[in-house]
Amino acid sequence: MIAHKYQYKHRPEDEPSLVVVKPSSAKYVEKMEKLQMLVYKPKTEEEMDGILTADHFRNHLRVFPEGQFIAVDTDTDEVVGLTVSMRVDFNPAEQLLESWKATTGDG
Amino acid sequence: MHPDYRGRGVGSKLMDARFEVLRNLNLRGMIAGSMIMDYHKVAHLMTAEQYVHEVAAGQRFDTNLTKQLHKGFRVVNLIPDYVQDSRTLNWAVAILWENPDYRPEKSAVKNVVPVQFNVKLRPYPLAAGS
Repeated sequence: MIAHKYQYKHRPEDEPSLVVVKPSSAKYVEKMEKLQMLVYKPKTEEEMDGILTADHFRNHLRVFPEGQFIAVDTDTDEVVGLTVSMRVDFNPAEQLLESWKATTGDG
Repeated sequence: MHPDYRGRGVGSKLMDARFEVLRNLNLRGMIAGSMIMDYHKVAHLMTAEQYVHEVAAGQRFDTNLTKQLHKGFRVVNLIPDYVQDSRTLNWAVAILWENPDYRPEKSAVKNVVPVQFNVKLRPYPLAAGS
């Protein structure tokens, strides 16, 4: 049997956990990378190419800190969800977006 | 989203946080590439274009796209070779959310303090021992 991953220290078992959505910050970038690996499970080099790493997240925070959010389980302080954004000029009359790599400049 | 935390509205709150940023910065809209995660299940029956058409019409459920359409995005165009992924057969859809509060006459705000937008929610407890 696999041991339970989450340690609930101060809370009875039947009480739900609290998840907070908040702006991401430098202290969470490694945990964000961990979540990417868990969700996308890259198997090949090519798939690994599309994975955002801690360095990517650090760069996003430098360029557009307002656009980066994470969901954190307050019991474990683990990142359980994330979203990243970048600012672009766009013309709604034209075709939107190319490949992910081209659009984001490799993330 | 972490698999153990899906289906409890957390992703929806993450999207709300982004919408709030667009309102605060007076930005015109948000574009996203939606990976059509369930296309592989029916790819032998229809083209990606047909699939997206049916999802947009509400006749078919897609793990990603259906939720985004419910949040107010609309489909703009298909993108081939978006990301290498066996589930989407590399297809994605460009989706657009237009900021209803956008005022073109008002210039975009350039530098603001990072938005502190905290959403607290109590999801269902995790199954013990799972």
